[in-house]
Amino acid sequence: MEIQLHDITKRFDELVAVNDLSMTIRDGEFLTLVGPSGCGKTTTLRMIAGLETPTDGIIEFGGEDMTYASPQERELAFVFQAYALYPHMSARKNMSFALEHTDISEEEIEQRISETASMLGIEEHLDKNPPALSGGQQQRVALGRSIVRDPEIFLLDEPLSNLDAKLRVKMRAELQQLHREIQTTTIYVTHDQEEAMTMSDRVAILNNGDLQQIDTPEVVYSQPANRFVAGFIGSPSMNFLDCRFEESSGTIQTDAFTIEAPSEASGDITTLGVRPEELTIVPTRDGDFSAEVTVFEQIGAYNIIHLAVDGLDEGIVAQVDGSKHFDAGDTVGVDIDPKHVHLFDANDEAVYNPPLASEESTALV
Amino acid sequence: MSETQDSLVGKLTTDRSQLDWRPYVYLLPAFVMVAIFLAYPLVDTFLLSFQEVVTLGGETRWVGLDNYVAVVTDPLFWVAAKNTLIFSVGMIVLPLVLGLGLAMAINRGIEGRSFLRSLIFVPVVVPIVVAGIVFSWLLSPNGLVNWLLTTAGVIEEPARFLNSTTLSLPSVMLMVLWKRTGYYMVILLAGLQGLPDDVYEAAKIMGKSRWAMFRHITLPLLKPAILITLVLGIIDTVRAFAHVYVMTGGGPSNSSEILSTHFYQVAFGYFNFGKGAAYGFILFGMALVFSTIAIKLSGGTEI
Repeated sequence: MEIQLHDITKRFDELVAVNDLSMTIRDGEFLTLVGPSGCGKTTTLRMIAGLETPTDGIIEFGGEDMTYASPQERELAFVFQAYALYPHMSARKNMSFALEHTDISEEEIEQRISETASMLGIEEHLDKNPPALSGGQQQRVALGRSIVRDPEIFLLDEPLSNLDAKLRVKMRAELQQLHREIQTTTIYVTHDQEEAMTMSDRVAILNNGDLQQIDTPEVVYSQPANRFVAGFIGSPSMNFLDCRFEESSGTIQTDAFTIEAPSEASGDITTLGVRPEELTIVPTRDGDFSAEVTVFEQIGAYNIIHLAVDGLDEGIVAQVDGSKHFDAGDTVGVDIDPKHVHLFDANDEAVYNPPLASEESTALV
Repeated sequence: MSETQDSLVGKLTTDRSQLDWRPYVYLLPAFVMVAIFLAYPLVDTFLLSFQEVVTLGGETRWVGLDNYVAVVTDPLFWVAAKNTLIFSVGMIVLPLVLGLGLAMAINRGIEGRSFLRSLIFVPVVVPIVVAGIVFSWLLSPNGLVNWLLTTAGVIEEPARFLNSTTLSLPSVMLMVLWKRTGYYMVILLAGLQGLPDDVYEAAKIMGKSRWAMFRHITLPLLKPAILITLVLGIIDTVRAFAHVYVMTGGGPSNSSEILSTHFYQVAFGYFNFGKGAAYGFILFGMALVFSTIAIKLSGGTEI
């Protein structure tokens, strides 16, 4: 089912939760709405579910106006952050409850529950009540309750946020696999950019009720539309430095160093953005500039160093190979690849982004 | 090796013999209070229920189960028991249903809900004797209720609510309903406010009707709160005394006599202390049995 949002606005008294939002969610797509707390992502999801009514705008399902339709007319499933399971019903009953008093026969209900339970690996837990289940098992029952209804649209509101970190990573993969199996249009809300990046076909980034960018994970990472997206997507966050663009010499100048500008750079450039993973640590004499290590964070597969640079008010962060070790107080050289920088204008809009990694590699082949 | 063991054993024994008495001293005041005001009267009354008080001076003789037999063979006991059962509808069933309805309406978020909640709770704070007197006035032949009913033409002659064998008990129940509804409402409202929104939203998305939500979500999730009101209601029904005593004194001709007013009559009206003690233990047993049945029937043990 294709979902279209046309100029959706939602106001709660004075507060504008969602502002003039338009987007199309394609049939069968896994789309993630991501943004910080209060960005309007959950409100948007609830409007699609019919739990809230937009103040303005139109919501269409497969071309049909559904703006004021009741939740049940929309034939969708909603997985809640706290699961919303019925504690007094067994897992089986939680799943069958949705189908009772519909024209689905009892054998069919039984059949669907056992199929779904085996898909989710919760067959042994069907006769237990939710309070007797672990967080992960409750999560699966909540998913199962939605799947048995065979909905046209799947809505998930931060479904993994109550799980511990290890289980979250596991469920992330399971949800992707589940989506591949059932092929239902899925809208997933999260504040965790890593979940958004790893699971989605496309990511929609919202801030203060405004849509910032909607595109594939690769594009929002490599070619963020503006400084907000650039800073929100990616961990550790992108480094931002005030800069000037010297058109005559074709250089970008910050208070600490000057680098060659990418050939496509033009116009009013005020901010230079560099991802920590694009900074190369080199011997002092070879770098574009030198810096002092203030904090060294050992992660394992890669390590993170915080650097202080003479002339810059704020420190910068670099990501280095896991085999490299530094101590606070070390002086290092930092090299910036002029091709892999992001340039923003005074309105924080991106004026230059590096090409996509996938395009670069095809170019090399 | 054995020496070390010996000395260890010796050490443990001395430790045990030097019992730390301090916790017991801390407990002593509470223990004394309980012993004087709860344990002693309970045991003494229990013993009294097997004795006959011969003189008011306190001379007694043992009569075995005679007092218990006397209570249950007293025809008035069964009249009072039947009346108490009817009375319990006003004490438990009606205010519970009404209180739940009001709690749900207020929880839904109607206009002026905090004002309404206070208004409904006011009767709970009114002393039972005051409420009884006020309702006696309202229901008296020249009271407000009769004035309204005659003015509106519903009845021609003022009704003698409290002096009627058919209307006296319902009159008391009316006062009790007024007084208890708010009490149950706040308990149930607290329960309702503890229920998460998302279970209802999940049901809405499944397309469940409002009745289905009430039947399959609200009622089961509210069970602990309902159970509390039920058990409190049962205990209060067995103990209810002033409710009837102030308004009708149990009359006319025992038509509004309930167990506790009859019990009072037996123990302190006829000074039959032995029978009164037995009566008291029968009431205690009833409260215990009915509360247990209520808890068992609802399938829950947690209160």
